Amino acid sequence: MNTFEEIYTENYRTMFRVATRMIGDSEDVSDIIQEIFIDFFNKTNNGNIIQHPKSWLYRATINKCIDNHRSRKQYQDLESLDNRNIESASAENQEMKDAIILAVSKLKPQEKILVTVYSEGLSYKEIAEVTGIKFTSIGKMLSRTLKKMEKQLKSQRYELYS
Amino acid sequence: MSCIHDDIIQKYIDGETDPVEVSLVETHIATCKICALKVENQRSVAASIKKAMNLLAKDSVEIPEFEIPSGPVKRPSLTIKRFSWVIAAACILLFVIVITDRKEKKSRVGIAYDTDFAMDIDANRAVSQFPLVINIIDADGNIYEYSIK
Repeated sequence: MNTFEEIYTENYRTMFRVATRMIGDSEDVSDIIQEIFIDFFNKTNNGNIIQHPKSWLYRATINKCIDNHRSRKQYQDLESLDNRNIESASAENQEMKDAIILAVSKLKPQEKILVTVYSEGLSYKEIAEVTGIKFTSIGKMLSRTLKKMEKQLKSQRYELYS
Repeated sequence: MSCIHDDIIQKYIDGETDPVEVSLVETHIATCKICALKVENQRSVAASIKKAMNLLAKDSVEIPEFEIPSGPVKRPSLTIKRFSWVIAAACILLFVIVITDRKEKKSRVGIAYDTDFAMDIDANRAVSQFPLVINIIDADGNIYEYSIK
């Protein structure tokens, strides 16, 4: 079994990226991730056994990000991603980013979460644990979501796989 | 043989198919150009979307040092908890034994007494005119009789 330090180091970056995609690159992301790890630390120290720490942490990240949206009472769409990223991106990357942001914004909430965790390389089993989608439905839902995004990107005349 | 569904293709490109499905897909795409193209197309779409999604978040994320929270008190382990209960029960038992023992000792060293009138009561006489007898019983059970007239 991994130690807390190992779990923290192994998952911090991915959780940070997932949260950034969901709520934008803001100070809130660091706070959310710290809060989750404090919860995790307290739970494990109080004798609770968390069977799948990775899934637990990603699920907590998604839930906290959703809560963060709700508490701010304004849905921060992916279009409103912070300018720091935009400034540092090259023109080509920027074009791709704009296109993908728009494509993601057209998805249903569950599809957004699915594509976010999928792009982090989680296995289907982990995706099912994190999102609550049935394991047997992941492949179907994923192919449908990716197709939707592809269609959206094509409608923006963005050549996805050039 | 019928063509492969998109969900199976998706599972195949993500490495989530079991060996039987892998064999079915590979046998099929070896002979079906349409499905082979579909697999390549879907693989390319998935890879490109993953790449594009990764642009939305920084690659270089600095991991801050985790500060151990000082708030919640660490809960003792089950063994320590059980041990504390045993100690507490032992203390209560000891307390009960000490109290009971004290009471018994008290009754042993205590002096009991009993009062009575020395003669039959005559209703025509005042109570103060009757002699009073006090019996004092010591710790060893000896009775000492005192008369007050």
